[in-house]
Amino acid sequence: MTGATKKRVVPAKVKGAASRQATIAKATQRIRPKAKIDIARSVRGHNR
Amino acid sequence: MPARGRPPATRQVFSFSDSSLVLPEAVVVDTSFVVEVLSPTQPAHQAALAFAQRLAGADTTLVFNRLLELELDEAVYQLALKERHPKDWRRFRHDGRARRRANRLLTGFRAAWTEFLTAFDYVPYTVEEVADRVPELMIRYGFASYDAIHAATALDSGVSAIVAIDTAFAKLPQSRIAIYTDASRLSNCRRYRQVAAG
Repeated sequence: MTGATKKRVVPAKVKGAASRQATIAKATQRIRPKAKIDIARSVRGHNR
Repeated sequence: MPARGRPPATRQVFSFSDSSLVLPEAVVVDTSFVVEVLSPTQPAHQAALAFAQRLAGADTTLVFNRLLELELDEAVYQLALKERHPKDWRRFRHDGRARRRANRLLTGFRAAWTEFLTAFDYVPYTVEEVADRVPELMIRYGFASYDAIHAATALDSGVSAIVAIDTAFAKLPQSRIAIYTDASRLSNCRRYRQVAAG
Protein backbone atom coordinates (compact mmCIF):
# COMPACT_ATOMS: atom_id res chain seq x y z
CA MET A 1 0.00 0.00 0.00
CA THR A 2 1.41 3.41 -0.91
CA GLY A 3 1.87 6.14 1.67
CA ALA A 4 -0.87 8.20 0.02
CA THR A 5 -3.30 5.30 0.32
CA LYS A 6 -2.38 4.75 3.98
CA LYS A 7 -3.31 8.36 4.74
CA ARG A 8 -6.81 7.79 3.39
CA VAL A 9 -7.72 4.84 5.58
CA VAL A 10 -11.18 5.03 7.16
CA PRO A 11 -10.79 3.27 10.52
CA ALA A 12 -12.99 0.32 11.51
CA LYS A 13 -15.87 1.21 13.82
CA VAL A 14 -15.87 -2.24 15.39
CA LYS A 15 -12.78 -3.21 17.36
CA GLY A 16 -11.59 -6.66 18.35
CA ALA A 17 -11.38 -9.76 16.17
CA ALA A 18 -14.37 -11.57 17.69
CA SER A 19 -16.66 -8.52 17.46
CA ARG A 20 -15.65 -7.91 13.86
CA GLN A 21 -16.32 -11.49 12.89
CA ALA A 22 -19.72 -11.38 14.56
CA THR A 23 -20.54 -8.11 12.76
CA ILE A 24 -19.76 -9.66 9.38
CA ALA A 25 -21.90 -12.71 10.14
CA LYS A 26 -24.76 -10.43 11.23
CA ALA A 27 -24.49 -8.34 8.07
CA THR A 28 -25.07 -11.38 5.90
CA GLN A 29 -28.24 -12.24 7.81
CA ARG A 30 -29.89 -9.12 6.41
CA ILE A 31 -30.15 -10.71 3.00
CA ARG A 32 -33.07 -13.01 2.28
CA PRO A 33 -33.25 -14.07 -1.36
CA LYS A 34 -36.44 -16.06 -2.02
CA ALA A 35 -34.83 -18.66 -4.21
CA LYS A 36 -31.40 -20.16 -4.64
CA ILE A 37 -30.41 -18.01 -7.59
CA ASP A 38 -26.72 -17.61 -8.40
CA ILE A 39 -26.27 -13.91 -9.12
CA ALA A 40 -22.53 -14.15 -9.76
CA ARG A 41 -23.06 -13.74 -13.49
CA SER A 42 -24.96 -10.54 -12.83
CA VAL A 43 -21.71 -8.85 -11.80
CA ARG A 44 -20.38 -7.43 -15.05
CA GLY A 45 -22.01 -10.41 -16.76
CA HIS A 46 -19.02 -12.36 -17.96
CA ASN A 47 -17.01 -15.52 -17.42
CA ARG A 48 -16.44 -15.22 -13.68
CA MET B 1 -1.21 -40.44 1.56
CA PRO B 2 0.77 -37.33 0.58
CA ALA B 3 0.54 -36.18 -3.04
CA ARG B 4 3.41 -37.39 -5.22
CA GLY B 5 5.69 -35.16 -7.23
CA ARG B 6 6.24 -31.45 -7.25
CA PRO B 7 3.36 -29.30 -5.98
CA PRO B 8 1.73 -27.10 -8.66
CA ALA B 9 3.21 -23.61 -9.15
CA THR B 10 1.01 -21.15 -7.30
CA ARG B 11 1.64 -18.27 -9.72
CA GLN B 12 0.55 -16.09 -6.80
CA VAL B 13 -3.01 -17.44 -7.03
CA PHE B 14 -4.40 -18.83 -3.80
CA SER B 15 -7.62 -20.43 -2.64
CA PHE B 16 -9.23 -18.43 0.13
CA SER B 17 -10.34 -21.72 1.67
CA ASP B 18 -6.70 -22.55 2.42
CA SER B 19 -6.33 -22.22 6.18
CA SER B 20 -2.52 -21.99 5.94
CA LEU B 21 -2.60 -18.74 3.94
CA VAL B 22 -0.59 -15.79 5.17
CA LEU B 23 -3.08 -12.93 5.09
CA PRO B 24 -2.12 -9.66 3.37
CA GLU B 25 -1.81 -6.33 5.16
CA ALA B 26 -4.22 -4.84 2.61
CA VAL B 27 -6.36 -6.33 -0.14
CA VAL B 28 -8.45 -4.97 -3.00
CA VAL B 29 -11.96 -6.40 -2.93
CA ASP B 30 -13.87 -7.02 -6.13
CA THR B 31 -17.67 -6.94 -6.40
CA SER B 32 -17.79 -10.66 -7.14
CA PHE B 33 -16.35 -11.43 -3.70
CA VAL B 34 -18.68 -9.04 -1.87
CA VAL B 35 -21.74 -10.59 -3.56
CA GLU B 36 -20.55 -14.01 -2.45
CA VAL B 37 -20.03 -12.89 1.15
CA LEU B 38 -23.28 -10.98 1.56
CA SER B 39 -25.74 -13.32 -0.11
CA PRO B 40 -26.29 -16.61 1.75
CA THR B 41 -27.59 -18.36 -1.37
CA GLN B 42 -24.36 -17.96 -3.34
CA PRO B 43 -22.43 -21.19 -4.02
CA ALA B 44 -19.18 -20.02 -2.38
CA HIS B 45 -20.88 -18.07 0.41
CA GLN B 46 -19.56 -20.07 3.36
CA ALA B 47 -15.95 -20.03 2.14
CA ALA B 48 -16.11 -16.33 1.24
CA LEU B 49 -17.70 -15.43 4.58
CA ALA B 50 -15.05 -17.38 6.48
CA PHE B 51 -12.29 -15.62 4.54
CA ALA B 52 -13.82 -12.20 5.18
CA GLN B 53 -13.93 -13.02 8.88
CA ARG B 54 -10.29 -14.08 8.80
CA LEU B 55 -9.34 -10.82 7.08
CA ALA B 56 -11.23 -8.82 9.70
CA GLY B 57 -9.58 -10.77 12.49
CA ALA B 58 -6.14 -10.10 10.99
CA ASP B 59 -6.73 -6.30 10.72
CA THR B 60 -6.43 -6.40 6.94
CA THR B 61 -7.31 -3.09 5.26
CA LEU B 62 -9.85 -3.31 2.45
CA VAL B 63 -9.35 -1.18 -0.66
CA PHE B 64 -12.17 -0.94 -3.17
CA ASN B 65 -13.54 1.21 -5.94
CA ARG B 66 -16.98 2.77 -5.44
CA LEU B 67 -17.94 1.18 -8.73
CA LEU B 68 -18.36 -1.94 -6.60
CA GLU B 69 -21.45 -0.44 -4.97
CA LEU B 70 -23.13 0.27 -8.31
CA GLU B 71 -22.29 -3.21 -9.57
CA LEU B 72 -23.77 -4.62 -6.39
CA ASP B 73 -26.98 -2.65 -7.04
CA GLU B 74 -27.21 -4.05 -10.56
CA ALA B 75 -26.63 -7.63 -9.39
CA VAL B 76 -29.36 -7.20 -6.78
CA TYR B 77 -31.81 -5.69 -9.26
CA GLN B 78 -31.23 -8.68 -11.50
CA LEU B 79 -31.86 -10.94 -8.52
CA ALA B 80 -35.32 -9.38 -8.10
CA LEU B 81 -36.01 -9.90 -11.81
CA LYS B 82 -34.84 -13.51 -11.69
CA GLU B 83 -36.99 -14.26 -8.65
CA ARG B 84 -40.09 -13.05 -10.47
CA HIS B 85 -39.28 -14.23 -13.98
CA PRO B 86 -36.81 -17.12 -13.65
CA LYS B 87 -36.72 -18.06 -17.34
CA ASP B 88 -37.00 -14.86 -19.31
CA TRP B 89 -36.04 -12.15 -16.84
CA ARG B 90 -34.29 -9.87 -19.34
CA ARG B 91 -37.54 -9.29 -21.24
CA PHE B 92 -39.30 -8.06 -18.08
CA ARG B 93 -36.73 -5.53 -16.94
CA HIS B 94 -38.82 -2.53 -17.92
CA ASP B 95 -42.30 -3.70 -16.97
CA GLY B 96 -41.85 -2.39 -13.43
CA ARG B 97 -43.33 -5.30 -11.49
CA ALA B 98 -40.01 -6.29 -9.90
CA ARG B 99 -39.22 -2.80 -8.68
CA ARG B 100 -40.79 -3.10 -5.23
CA ARG B 101 -38.91 -6.33 -4.50
CA ALA B 102 -35.74 -4.81 -5.99
CA ASN B 103 -36.09 -1.85 -3.66
CA ARG B 104 -36.30 -4.12 -0.60
CA LEU B 105 -33.33 -6.19 -1.74
CA LEU B 106 -31.27 -3.12 -2.61
CA THR B 107 -31.96 -1.61 0.79
CA GLY B 108 -30.96 -4.87 2.48
CA PHE B 109 -27.75 -5.28 0.49
CA ARG B 110 -26.73 -1.66 1.00
CA ALA B 111 -27.33 -1.96 4.74
CA ALA B 112 -25.38 -5.23 4.83
CA TRP B 113 -22.48 -3.67 2.93
CA THR B 114 -22.41 -0.67 5.27
CA GLU B 115 -22.42 -2.95 8.30
CA PHE B 116 -19.77 -5.18 6.74
CA LEU B 117 -17.45 -2.18 6.31
CA THR B 118 -17.67 -1.27 9.99
CA ALA B 119 -15.57 -4.36 10.71
CA PHE B 120 -12.65 -3.14 8.56
CA ASP B 121 -10.24 -0.32 8.05
CA TYR B 122 -10.92 0.60 4.43
CA VAL B 123 -9.94 2.92 1.60
CA PRO B 124 -12.60 3.81 -0.98
CA TYR B 125 -11.51 4.98 -4.44
CA THR B 126 -13.73 6.71 -6.96
CA VAL B 127 -13.94 5.87 -10.65
CA GLU B 128 -12.60 9.33 -11.55
CA GLU B 129 -9.40 8.75 -9.59
CA VAL B 130 -8.36 5.78 -11.70
CA ALA B 131 -10.17 6.39 -14.99
CA ASP B 132 -7.05 7.67 -16.76
CA ARG B 133 -5.34 4.29 -16.32
CA VAL B 134 -8.23 2.28 -17.74
CA PRO B 135 -7.47 2.52 -21.51
CA GLU B 136 -3.87 1.45 -20.94
CA LEU B 137 -4.97 -1.60 -18.91
CA MET B 138 -7.55 -2.52 -21.55
CA ILE B 139 -4.98 -2.39 -24.32
CA ARG B 140 -2.14 -3.98 -22.40
CA TYR B 141 -4.03 -6.86 -20.76
CA GLY B 142 -7.32 -7.10 -22.66
CA PHE B 143 -9.48 -6.12 -19.70
CA ALA B 144 -13.11 -5.14 -20.09
CA SER B 145 -13.51 -1.53 -18.96
CA TYR B 146 -15.23 -2.30 -15.64
CA ASP B 147 -12.64 -4.96 -14.75
CA ALA B 148 -9.93 -2.44 -15.64
CA ILE B 149 -11.32 0.00 -13.05
CA HIS B 150 -10.81 -2.53 -10.25
CA ALA B 151 -7.39 -3.46 -11.61
CA ALA B 152 -6.43 0.22 -11.84
CA THR B 153 -7.55 0.69 -8.24
CA ALA B 154 -5.17 -2.08 -7.19
CA LEU B 155 -2.28 -0.60 -9.14
CA ASP B 156 -2.92 2.97 -8.04
CA SER B 157 -3.21 2.06 -4.36
CA GLY B 158 -0.03 0.00 -4.40
CA VAL B 159 -1.87 -2.95 -2.86
CA SER B 160 -0.40 -6.28 -3.93
CA ALA B 161 -3.41 -8.58 -3.42
CA ILE B 162 -6.94 -8.82 -4.78
CA VAL B 163 -9.79 -11.06 -3.72
CA ALA B 164 -12.21 -11.92 -6.50
CA ILE B 165 -14.43 -14.73 -7.73
CA ASP B 166 -13.43 -13.84 -11.24
CA THR B 167 -10.62 -15.17 -13.40
CA ALA B 168 -10.18 -11.86 -15.27
CA PHE B 169 -7.60 -10.50 -12.84
CA ALA B 170 -5.21 -13.34 -13.70
CA LYS B 171 -4.21 -11.17 -16.66
CA LEU B 172 -2.21 -8.99 -14.29
CA PRO B 173 1.39 -10.15 -13.79
CA GLN B 174 2.08 -12.31 -10.76
CA SER B 175 5.02 -10.08 -9.85
CA ARG B 176 2.53 -7.27 -9.28
CA ILE B 177 -0.50 -8.82 -7.59
CA ALA B 178 -1.55 -11.96 -5.74
CA ILE B 179 -5.05 -13.30 -6.32
CA TYR B 180 -7.24 -14.86 -3.68
CA THR B 181 -10.15 -16.76 -5.18
CA ASP B 182 -12.44 -19.72 -4.54
CA ALA B 183 -11.09 -23.23 -4.98
CA SER B 184 -13.03 -23.89 -8.20
CA ARG B 185 -11.28 -21.04 -10.05
CA LEU B 186 -7.79 -21.79 -8.85
CA SER B 187 -6.57 -23.88 -11.79
CA ASN B 188 -8.09 -21.58 -14.43
CA CYS B 189 -6.54 -18.50 -12.81
CA ARG B 190 -3.15 -20.19 -12.74
CA ARG B 191 -3.49 -21.33 -16.33
CA TYR B 192 -4.46 -17.82 -17.51
CA ARG B 193 -1.47 -16.42 -15.64
CA GLN B 194 0.84 -18.90 -17.32
CA VAL B 195 -0.58 -18.00 -20.74
CA ALA B 196 -0.37 -14.25 -20.04
CA ALA B 197 3.27 -14.60 -18.98
CA GLY B 198 3.93 -16.14 -22.39
